[in-house]
Amino acid sequence: MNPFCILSQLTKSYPTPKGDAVIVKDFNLKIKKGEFVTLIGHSGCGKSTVLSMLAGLNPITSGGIILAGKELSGPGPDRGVVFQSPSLLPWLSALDNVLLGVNQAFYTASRLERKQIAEYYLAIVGLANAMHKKPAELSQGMCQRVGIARAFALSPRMLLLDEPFGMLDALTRFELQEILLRLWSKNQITALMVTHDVDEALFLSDRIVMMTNGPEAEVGDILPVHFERPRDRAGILAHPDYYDMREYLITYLSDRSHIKGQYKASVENQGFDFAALKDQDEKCNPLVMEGKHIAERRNRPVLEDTTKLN
Amino acid sequence: MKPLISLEGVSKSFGSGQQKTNVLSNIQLEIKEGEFVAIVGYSGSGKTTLISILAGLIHPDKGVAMYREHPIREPDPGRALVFQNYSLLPWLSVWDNLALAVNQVFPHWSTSKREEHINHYLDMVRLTPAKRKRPSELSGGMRQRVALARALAIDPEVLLLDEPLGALDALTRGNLQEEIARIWSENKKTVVLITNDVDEGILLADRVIPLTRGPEATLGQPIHINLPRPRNRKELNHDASFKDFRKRIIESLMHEGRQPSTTTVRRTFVLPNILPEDLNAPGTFRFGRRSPVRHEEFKQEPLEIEI
Amino acid sequence: MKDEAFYRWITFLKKIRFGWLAPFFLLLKGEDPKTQCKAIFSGVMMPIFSILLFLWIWDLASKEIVTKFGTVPGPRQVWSAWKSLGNETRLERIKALEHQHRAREKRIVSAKKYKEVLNNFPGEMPTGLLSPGTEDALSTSSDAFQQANELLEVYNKISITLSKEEAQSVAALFQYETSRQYAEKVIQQALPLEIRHRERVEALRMAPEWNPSPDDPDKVVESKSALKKSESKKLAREKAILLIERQRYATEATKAAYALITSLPKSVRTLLAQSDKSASKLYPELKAWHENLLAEEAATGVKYAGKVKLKMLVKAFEYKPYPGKDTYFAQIATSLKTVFFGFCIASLIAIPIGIICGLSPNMNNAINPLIQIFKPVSPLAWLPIVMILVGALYVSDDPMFELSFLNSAITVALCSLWPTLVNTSLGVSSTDKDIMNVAKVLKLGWYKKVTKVIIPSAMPLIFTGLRLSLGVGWMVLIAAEMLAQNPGLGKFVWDMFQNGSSETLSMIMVAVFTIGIIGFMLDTIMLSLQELVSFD
Repeated sequence: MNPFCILSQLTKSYPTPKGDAVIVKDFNLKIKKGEFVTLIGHSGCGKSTVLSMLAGLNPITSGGIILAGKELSGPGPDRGVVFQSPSLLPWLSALDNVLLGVNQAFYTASRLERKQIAEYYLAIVGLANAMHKKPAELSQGMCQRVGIARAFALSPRMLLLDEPFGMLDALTRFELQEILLRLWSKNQITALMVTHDVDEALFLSDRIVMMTNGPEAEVGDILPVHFERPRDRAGILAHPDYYDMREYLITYLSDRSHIKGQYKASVENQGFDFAALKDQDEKCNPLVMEGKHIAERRNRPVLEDTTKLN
Repeated sequence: MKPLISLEGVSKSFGSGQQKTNVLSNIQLEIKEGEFVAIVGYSGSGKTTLISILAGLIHPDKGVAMYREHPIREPDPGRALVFQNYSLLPWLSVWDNLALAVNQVFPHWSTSKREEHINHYLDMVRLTPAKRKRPSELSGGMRQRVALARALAIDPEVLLLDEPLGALDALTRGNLQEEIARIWSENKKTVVLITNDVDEGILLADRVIPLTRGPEATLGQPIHINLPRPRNRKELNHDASFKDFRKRIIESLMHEGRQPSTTTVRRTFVLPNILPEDLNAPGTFRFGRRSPVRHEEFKQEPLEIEI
Repeated sequence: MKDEAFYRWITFLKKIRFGWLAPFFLLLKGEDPKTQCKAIFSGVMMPIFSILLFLWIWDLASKEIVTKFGTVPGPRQVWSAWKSLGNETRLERIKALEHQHRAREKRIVSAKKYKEVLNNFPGEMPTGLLSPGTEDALSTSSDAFQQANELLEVYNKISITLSKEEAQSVAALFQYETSRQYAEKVIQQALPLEIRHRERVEALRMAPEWNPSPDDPDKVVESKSALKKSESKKLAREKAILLIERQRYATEATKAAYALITSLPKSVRTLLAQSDKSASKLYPELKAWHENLLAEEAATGVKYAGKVKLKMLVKAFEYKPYPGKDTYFAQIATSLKTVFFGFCIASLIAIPIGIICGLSPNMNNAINPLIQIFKPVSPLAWLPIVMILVGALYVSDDPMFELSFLNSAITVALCSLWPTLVNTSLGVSSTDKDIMNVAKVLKLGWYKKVTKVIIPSAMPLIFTGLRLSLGVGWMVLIAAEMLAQNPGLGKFVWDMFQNGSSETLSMIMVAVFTIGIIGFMLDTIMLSLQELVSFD
């Protein structure tokens, strides 16, 4: 099966007087449809740069991104982004903030239907009673719920989460992770999240992509997460592999994240059987199809010129 | 043995009349000398209020806060407070920031003794090379080390840490946690640490006490962390009791204090079966009024809403 | 819900610097009296205390300094001067009412006297002789005829409504009789004071110390000058007190007169006002009527017998506004009008340019040097240029605005443009980057992006700019009015300075306080607006 999203040889550099500062170099990643992938790495390693290139907010220096068979250019509401700060428009109510995006993506729909969409998603994130409040009247956690609702309400092809809970305290984070998971499991939008929280990555994702330290960051290692869905926190904490995986990630972050070019070599040297995990991963995560119509509608002419990207 | 600090039935509320919010209610806490206590709670649950009461910055409405069997009335250099936002004086160098506090607390010392004292604590937090720098030239982690050194340099009996690592990134936080553990093991001060990070609490403290969700926050069942020291973050991962502590604390935080809602109403929300337009597709005629594309699925979801 | 609104209102009060009122509301609401009393002490008592202290020091200091206009006015003299300004306004109102009353009387009398003109018109003129154009004109003026008759009815009614005595007493009031009586009383009461004062001056002049003795002229001169100094200080103080006394009596007099006039029943007053209004409406029609007739006479040679009567009638209905001088309050109003007009011009220019500058860094770089150069220019430098340019460009036979008004308004605009411009451009260009990313992700079009995201997010800064602009404008206005001789507070200060009476300093002080208080009020209004558009 073709991957839904391909990041190929993705490189980002900024020109400086002392030559180009390469933030990300030759970043390769394939994401399946309906998969939840997490990028994890130290702050400043370029994981947010990868995400913002995928969002189209940061121009790509070289390489390319293919989403649903088309090469990306520029931002668009087909990729819903949840930013680290909620980035709500402070003069609009929660509902109007969501509606701003909905009006844009569903401009052919009737006013009533657009409002229904916005209300539906706000209700699911638990803000049915606070729809008409302004961001200043909401707590930071609630603001981020609006941010999540805004991204989901666009019915995007792909969801991009840029350290969505980074500014929240550890405990509010738990709540929002559960809300995110609940919402995500409703329609399994392909998602890419950036975080530095190991527990968050394990709780939410299907695969965790560890990045090496910048500059010239690349994929350092990939850990498939095979916990069954639907997940609940207690169950995952009690899972026999949980702390092994957690340790694996922590060890990577503290000891190995500065070593480049290790990804291929590392696969064989694990404490537990990664090959088996990978197989299991394939089985556990059958790709969930979106509606047939969505597929039809979105599979506009496939980009033929893939040679260019390789 | 008598406790060093004790809170008995402490309650605190802010505002008056209709706006009154009861932040803390009926807090019972006893801290022994030399103990490291971590209080873990949600942001906004009154953690800062609690530590301000311990420091003597505010006074409880009900109940008493005792320190060495005397009621706490005002701040006292015996109980040093470290804030999340460092609160260093930006126009003074690291050394001068420390000197200001030390000169205030030990005015009778000789200059050389004071200097030696300051250098000792700068060394302890490994900031000797940066002692002539201004806070603006330091990273967040280094600033927090300065704040820590300043608190330690006045030689307090109790160290009150109010989310000292909350504003730092994960890596720096890990390093500073180890630093705090090391410093504590060196001079065995009594420490009260306020945090929202469960792992931080388990890694550092002898006792972790969850603070339930506010308003009317109160302390939950304390959990004694009897892990051997020094504790290693990575090794802890394999420790069965670590997992158990972690699970118990998280569960008690997630489930305690969640107040049953007064009334719930079922409301149905409708998700129309329409698909978004592709705004990236070339040649989309934005002003053309056509009807949206629909799929067969039509979602209707009843949700329970608390009122 | 109601409580929530109440607390929102309290927060709002605090934001617009009226937080000192909050404890009173909270007390009424039944909140903890101890806290509220503390708040009242620090928020209300302390400012009052400091104001009282200021007045006391001012009072003490003012007595010691003597200028060529007498002592420096203390708070009491300034208060008296303020009252005299109020009194002046009242006198003007009385005079204006008197003027109206006279006109009304004239109309009633002439309407009665020339009633037959209205009733018989155009009876004496054979219709056949008139040209078709005039006949048309006369037929259209039959409306006016109708109205004139109605008006006559109204006036008759009025004279019936007001019985003879009442009419007389009103007339007597308008004759200013009462106030004249009071004025006499004033003179009587103030007279002894003045006489005593004169006597003292005389006695001093006759005193031996004032005349040099031949033995030791130096010593005498020395003691004389010392004496003169202390005596003149004493005299100046006495004179100040005298002035205050006189002012008090005068104020009492006009107040009483004004009260009598305004005690007319409201129904009568509205009736009078209505009739005045319809009379002034009627005037152009009567006039046209009369002119038509004259033209017709000239064309046909047929004389119209009632011509003179008609002319008198037209004259009686002519509306002449009272040609009084500008009172202090009228001058305040003019100042406010000028500053508001200038501020509007400034905002209309500055906000769009600011938005353009904020949106495009290129435009910003292009315009920035101009802003930086013109921003620090003083209004005194702008004014001559504005005067010359406006004088050359604004030439009209029937100008909508007075030249002096335009001059000062444009100067105000030129000086108050910059804060709004700079703040708007800053607000637009500093739109939160995350929010701009949201706009990008949603692919908002240019227009939507500007109207839905950029301008709302710049709103608080735009309003901060407007507030600063209005402050600058109000400061500049006084200077501009002084120089442009535009009626207003600036001109008032200048005139007072020029005429150099004994009240000069107090009057200028009154103007200073007025300017300060109005500036404060304008700022508070803008602050409230700013609060309304801010997000937190």
